[in-house]
Amino acid sequence: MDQPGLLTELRRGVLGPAVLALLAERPRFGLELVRDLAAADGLLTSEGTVYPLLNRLRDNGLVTSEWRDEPGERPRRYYAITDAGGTYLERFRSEWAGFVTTVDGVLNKTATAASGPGEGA
Amino acid sequence: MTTMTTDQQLKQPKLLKEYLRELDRALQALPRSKARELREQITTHLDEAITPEMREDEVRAVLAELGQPVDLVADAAREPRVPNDIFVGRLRARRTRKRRWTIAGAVVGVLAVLAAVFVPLCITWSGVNADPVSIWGQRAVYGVSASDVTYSQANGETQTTIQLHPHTQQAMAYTFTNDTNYTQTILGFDPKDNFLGGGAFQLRFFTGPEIDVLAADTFDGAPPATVAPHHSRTMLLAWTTAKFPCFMAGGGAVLSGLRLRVHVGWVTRTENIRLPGALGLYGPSGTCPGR
Repeated sequence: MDQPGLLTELRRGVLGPAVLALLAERPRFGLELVRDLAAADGLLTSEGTVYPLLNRLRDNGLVTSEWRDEPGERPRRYYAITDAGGTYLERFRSEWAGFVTTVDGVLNKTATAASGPGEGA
Repeated sequence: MTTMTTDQQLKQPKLLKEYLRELDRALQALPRSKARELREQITTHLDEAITPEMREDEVRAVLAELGQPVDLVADAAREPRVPNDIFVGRLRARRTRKRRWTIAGAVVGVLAVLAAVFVPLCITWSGVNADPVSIWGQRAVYGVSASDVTYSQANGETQTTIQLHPHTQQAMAYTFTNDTNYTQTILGFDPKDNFLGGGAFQLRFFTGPEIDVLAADTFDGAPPATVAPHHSRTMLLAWTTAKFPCFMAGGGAVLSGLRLRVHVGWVTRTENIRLPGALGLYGPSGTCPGR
């Protein structure tokens, strides 16, 4: 696998929960959400992928969106997490910790084996 | 909804126009509603991210960070992905399971409530818990002279003991009451009762207009015999000593109750109907055939 694509699938996998985590703090509009995600180094491969993801999250009932036209601001579509999204996020958080531990365990074990003493002469 | 920044406001309108043209071409691969939505999101993003003062390289950087239109559309057209959507799938499956359990729980709950209400009612209606008939009067009827009967006290009760006579039909009359709200029908002796059900005893019921307990022929009714709720009837327990010859050798038996099959409400059951006092049947001394 080439280096640029090394983490692509992994990023895709965690981007949804990351978006939900940000929306769990407060509702955000598109560009705001994109910039907050971009601030987390290495999480976004391209900013535009956030929008199809938001649409999927909404289709799955985890996110809602609404247009807000507030004084002094341009009209913006704000995204907010739903109750189902909150439940999903909590479950992801609890599963993620175990997942990371498992992957770490496998990676460290195989790394140790690979760097261990070679066969005798 | 926002509108795209106008060309006049931008120093680099050409870059943007090219990007949007490319986006529109790519969006043709999507269903119309999805395409419209994604275009609106992208144009809104650009509208906010690109300011009129931006230089070309800055606009290029914004567009590069946003991603190639064809990639964005490919991403939008992608089916639910692994592993993110595995969790969505799990969540849905969990919800479905939860919903099923909720429905199952509700059904069980309703059934439990119905059972809690109707089972006791059905039990009550069925007559299972109805009291058996109760015997309150007894009398030696025929084939039994006064000298054949002795009375004794045992456990606070009066035992009636009858001297058996060989090859003689004898009987006791019992008057009983059905104190329940159910019609009870006496079907006969419990077939499992080897003594009463062995053929030596008979049950006969009075069917005539007037009870004459001394007239055997007034008890011409055989089981089944129906006793209306809160009514009384008189029945005859008759026997012939020819059926238990060993009693004639000084043997005997004591009956404290009659085990009868009775139909009440929806059920048929065996009732152990207690006698007002024990009934002793004893034969004279002699030799038991076969001994």
